[in-house]
Amino acid sequence: MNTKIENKLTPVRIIAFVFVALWLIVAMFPFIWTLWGSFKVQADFFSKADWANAIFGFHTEKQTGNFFYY
Amino acid sequence: MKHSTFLLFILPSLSVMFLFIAIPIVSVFIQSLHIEHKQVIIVSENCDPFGCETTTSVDTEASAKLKEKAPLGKFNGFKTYSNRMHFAFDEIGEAWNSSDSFIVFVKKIYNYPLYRALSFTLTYTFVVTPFVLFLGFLVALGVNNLPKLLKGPTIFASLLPMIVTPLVGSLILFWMVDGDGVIGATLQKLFNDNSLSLKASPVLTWVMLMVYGIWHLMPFSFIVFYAGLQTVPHETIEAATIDGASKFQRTRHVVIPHLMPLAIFITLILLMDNFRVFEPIISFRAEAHATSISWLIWNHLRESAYPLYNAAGATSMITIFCVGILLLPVLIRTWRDFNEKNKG
Amino acid sequence: MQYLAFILKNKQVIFFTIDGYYGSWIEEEFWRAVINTSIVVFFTVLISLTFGTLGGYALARSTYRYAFWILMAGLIFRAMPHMTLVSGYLQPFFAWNIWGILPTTIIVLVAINQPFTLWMLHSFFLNIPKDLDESAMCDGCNRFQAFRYVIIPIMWPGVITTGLFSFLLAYNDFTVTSMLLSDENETMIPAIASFLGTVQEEGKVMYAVAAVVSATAPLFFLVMFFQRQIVSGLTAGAVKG
Repeated sequence: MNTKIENKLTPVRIIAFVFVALWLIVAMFPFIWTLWGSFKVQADFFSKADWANAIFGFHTEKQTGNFFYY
Repeated sequence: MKHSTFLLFILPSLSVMFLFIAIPIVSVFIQSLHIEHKQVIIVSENCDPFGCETTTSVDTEASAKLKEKAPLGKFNGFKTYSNRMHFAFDEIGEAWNSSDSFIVFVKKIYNYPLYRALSFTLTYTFVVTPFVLFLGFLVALGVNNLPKLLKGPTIFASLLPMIVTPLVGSLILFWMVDGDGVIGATLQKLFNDNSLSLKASPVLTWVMLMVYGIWHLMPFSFIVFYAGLQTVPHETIEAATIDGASKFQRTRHVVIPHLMPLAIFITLILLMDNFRVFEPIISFRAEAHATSISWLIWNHLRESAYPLYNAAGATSMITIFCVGILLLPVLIRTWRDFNEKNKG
Repeated sequence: MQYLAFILKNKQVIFFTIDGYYGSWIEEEFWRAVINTSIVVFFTVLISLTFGTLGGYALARSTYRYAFWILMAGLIFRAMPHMTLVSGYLQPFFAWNIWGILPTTIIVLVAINQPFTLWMLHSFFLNIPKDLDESAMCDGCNRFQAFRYVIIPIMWPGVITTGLFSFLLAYNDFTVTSMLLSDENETMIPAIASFLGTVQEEGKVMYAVAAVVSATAPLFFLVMFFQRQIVSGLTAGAVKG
């Protein structure tokens, strides 16, 4: 009986799922963002113009050393 | 167990608690009754053909002697408690007489450090605690509905905000809500207001600190409630289902009463932890708009050139008194339970 | 410093640098704080657990009224905001000249930790049947021998769980370590707090960001490996008591 309940997708179940997913984003996002951003320069991590800079590291390229690829 | 064996076993533990918790509380009380010596000042008059000039200098030798004689300082009684750094009785009386409306009076009181700190600490405690209880319960219900495979990773991710050092956790959030940080900048774009700053407004600072508090403590109530949900008797739920109770009714009439003792336990722990809120204020550099009692003590000890031991002591005693009031219901209850158990 | 670059499939390049880590660990000597933290945390956990197991065992086995009062006192001590205690330490510690050194901080953290450790281990020992050590005592052991040969071999799950929480308390502490340690003995958390003042003004916020991530990483692994123990520890006091 128990397994039957677990496999059914009821509206309550969907709401619960969405709610937990939201909480997980709230709980995890700050850590992931800061871990990623710690490998950037300040102009990228605190980039007011475009938060995508903090992901790709636009200023990190300009401000640091020589250019070489991996 | 024999008394002597008991004593031997508990002695190390008891002696550190006695030396570093019980005695400091007494010493804080004594500290709060004394006040630092004033420096001994020598006034000397130097006369020359153009006139006389008085110079003042600190007599370090006499000052040191005074300090050696009475290292605690001058006895001051309860005056530290009533001065403007603490209860500010005189100032309040004056404010009461000079204010034409109650709101003006409250605003005047709010200018005094102790009332400022108390109002934030109490608001923080009584806002964060219910939110944490309620949201934690909802997440626990949600996770309980998840497929088994997802439960482990969900618990792992949920634990992080609580485990991470409060100072560090609040710093991480602080950098994100900074005007140049990702959340701060996004909010500015959303509201199309380039000067929007969460740090500049008192109300937003309070909200920010409380949101941090909820984020930080929610995992605790979630985990405890989740563990409690595993112990809800299956038969009762099934019986209720057969009787035609909806999911909501089952939660309301079976699950919640079952979890009530847990909720009391969580509330107790949350009240104790929230009342000592301190680190987020340092991280958010929020002292201009929000101060807590612990922050106030830290400030007395740290910010001036000489630590203000008497002020720190008095604030500490007031804090301990408040904690006592918070704990009183629990203590009375335990005392009653204990007595009943011994009678029966 | 140089940087790393990864090229994604759509020719988008992602750049990384370790400037922040280099700056904080080497230039600002964050490694010193890491070593201090390791020392403080190691000894705090060790001493807390030693004192705590002895005391918790005694409390669980005593049938007298004073055991109850000790537990109640523990509950009250647990509620004391740490800052109030710290304000009582400073004057005597300065007078005896033991302010600023690691051993003082360790013993203070042990003391602050003790109420919680006692409560947790007490409820853990209550779950170990009394008959076990009492039958050993019938066989001619005294209380200490019964503890040594019967209890110690089976107490590790509870001790590990309690140890995790002692670890967290010592590792996460800011109030005690920031007030009781001198600059050269600073641990990680107060070091990060002092970064805030000095480094921020010089435009080196990334040093602080890197230090924050460095301080979080061990906790991340701790949760990963000991998730079950942490969960059981959080609920131990609640579900049973």
